[in-house]
Amino acid sequence: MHRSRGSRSAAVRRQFAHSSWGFGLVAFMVSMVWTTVASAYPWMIRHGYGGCAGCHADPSGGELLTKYGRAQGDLILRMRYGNTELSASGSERGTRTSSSFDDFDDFDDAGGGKEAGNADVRQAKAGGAGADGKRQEVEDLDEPGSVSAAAGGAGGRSADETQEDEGPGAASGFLWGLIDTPDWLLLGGSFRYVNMLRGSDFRTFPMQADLYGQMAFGAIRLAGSIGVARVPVGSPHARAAQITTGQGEELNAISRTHWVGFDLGPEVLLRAGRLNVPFGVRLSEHVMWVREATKTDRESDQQHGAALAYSGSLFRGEAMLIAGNYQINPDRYRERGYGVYVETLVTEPFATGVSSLMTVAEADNITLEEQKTVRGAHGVFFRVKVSEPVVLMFEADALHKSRRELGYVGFLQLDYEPVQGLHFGGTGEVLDRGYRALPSATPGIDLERAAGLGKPRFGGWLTVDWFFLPSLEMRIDAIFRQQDPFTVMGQLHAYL
Amino acid sequence: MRTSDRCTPGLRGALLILLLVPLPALASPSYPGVVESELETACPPPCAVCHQDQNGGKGTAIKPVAESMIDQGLEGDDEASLRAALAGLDRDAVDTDGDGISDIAELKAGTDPNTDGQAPICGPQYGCGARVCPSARFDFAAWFVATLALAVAMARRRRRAAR
Repeated sequence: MHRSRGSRSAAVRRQFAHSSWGFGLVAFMVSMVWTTVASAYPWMIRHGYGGCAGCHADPSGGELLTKYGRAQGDLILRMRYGNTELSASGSERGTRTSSSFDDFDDFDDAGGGKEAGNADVRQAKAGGAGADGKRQEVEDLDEPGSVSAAAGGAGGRSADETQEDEGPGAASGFLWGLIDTPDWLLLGGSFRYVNMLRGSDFRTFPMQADLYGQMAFGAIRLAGSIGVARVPVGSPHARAAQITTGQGEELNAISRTHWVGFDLGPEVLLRAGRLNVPFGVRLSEHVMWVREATKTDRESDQQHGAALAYSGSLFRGEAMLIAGNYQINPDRYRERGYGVYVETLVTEPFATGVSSLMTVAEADNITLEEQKTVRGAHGVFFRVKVSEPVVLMFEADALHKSRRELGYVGFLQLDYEPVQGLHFGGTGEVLDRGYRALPSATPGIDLERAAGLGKPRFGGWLTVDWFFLPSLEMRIDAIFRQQDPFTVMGQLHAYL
Repeated sequence: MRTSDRCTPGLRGALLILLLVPLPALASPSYPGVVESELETACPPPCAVCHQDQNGGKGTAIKPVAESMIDQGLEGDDEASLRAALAGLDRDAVDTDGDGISDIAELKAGTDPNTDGQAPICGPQYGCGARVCPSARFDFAAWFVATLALAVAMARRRRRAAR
């Protein structure tokens, strides 16, 4: 027994109408200013979420959440302050009980990133799994509250009671439930504010401010992000995603992703536009060396091109033809080539994969050498649930680039969640970008072998991450890296 | 004041905390910005003019022109020393690469003062409306669009033929 989405949202709206006008106004203004750095949390494999397409609009993860993803985030991501029964049930639903966690596609039955915009596809998915009753679950899971109802049932309580008291209520919706979006529309956003102490240099700044959206019409999807950023001249961040042309320290509008997609079937999505490059573990830490050195972070390393994503039961992957980043000029700096990853679910809690990337550009936009530059990265990765609270993730990639020796980059990360919503993490990193193979024509560019440049460079992160309220996260990282000052970074993240 | 029971006091408190976080100036002036404003260069000089590469960082300012500026008193994290060093280069007409054009003149012209010749230093420009250099080489995007249009046209023709 569920209250309908419409009646529930109407009730919320009525209740909100009586609340402070000031609060509403401020919330609205905040929603207009803030932007999203939605995150992908690859350690969600602990809850049976091997893949990403059920919770994210992007089939390879990151950014915009589906309604199902929002509901699950409320159930199994944030701290429940004692309501562990509900959380456990939510997690169990993710795994379809631990014994049935043998399928990347479990979550996909709940929407596949499209929400209710394509009933045919959803029914096909549900129908395909109808023998085990998933069809009914699909219908139920469209309602955030329905997950709690099922969980409440598992806990021996009535569905209504659970929904009222504990379930992923309206606060899990867009803008904490203030705006109820139609089925064909997904909206989201992130704001990430950072305080950073790097050596003796203290900085405080908004790190991310994006809004995300997706419209689905039948098998066709239109999605994208819009945000703002202000970075120093020469910053490696945000610039490559600019859509306005300020080259200085002024505020610029940015769009990290924008694409049109076509669902070729329940498991296959073809997209064209500016996309996250499919490669490796899709981490939220964009400055992690594996993402920086391979230029595959979700901060601004996206590329224009076309990609085909597959989210199957035991395999998932995405291949992208990279046409270049058309937000960088002139053309000689654009990298063209491919990026691809394939991941397989080997056993119940163990997923492993390979990825490969190769691009060519007429000039090197890092050293500014006016020579054709071929760049590549090829590697392996895995994610494994060691025990319920412990997840290990690993990636190792070989790096090659014109005029450089072979290099490598890798990380090993342990995520420990002793209490739902509170994570302790430890990460080790290693990087060698590859020593310059031949003397440069540019005087002064040739350096002695050093850590990170012909020799291994090591780094480590200690992390505390607390999902303390619906769609709100506080995180502290202590970062130790060779050749870098000790850095402590605290951030507040709101997912709109 | 009545509030939605979905919007718990805890949630509202957290939102207020978020709102109360002060919004400071977003970035402090950087060396490329100082050079751009002092010399009115065509672009903010990329990090690689002085540093080993675009990543910058302490200990990597090893290009010849960086050494010339260090000789003029340049120090790290000190914009005044950078302004003084630029003035010194201009006053002494320092020509690091010995190509007959002074470093300051090269920076103003957007060429590399490290190398003999007219190698441009203005790296990538960002944004959709920034200057785009037409390229005669194979354009994947144009070919992709053309191929897509061709495929659609062929599919329609085939469908008509089937009728």
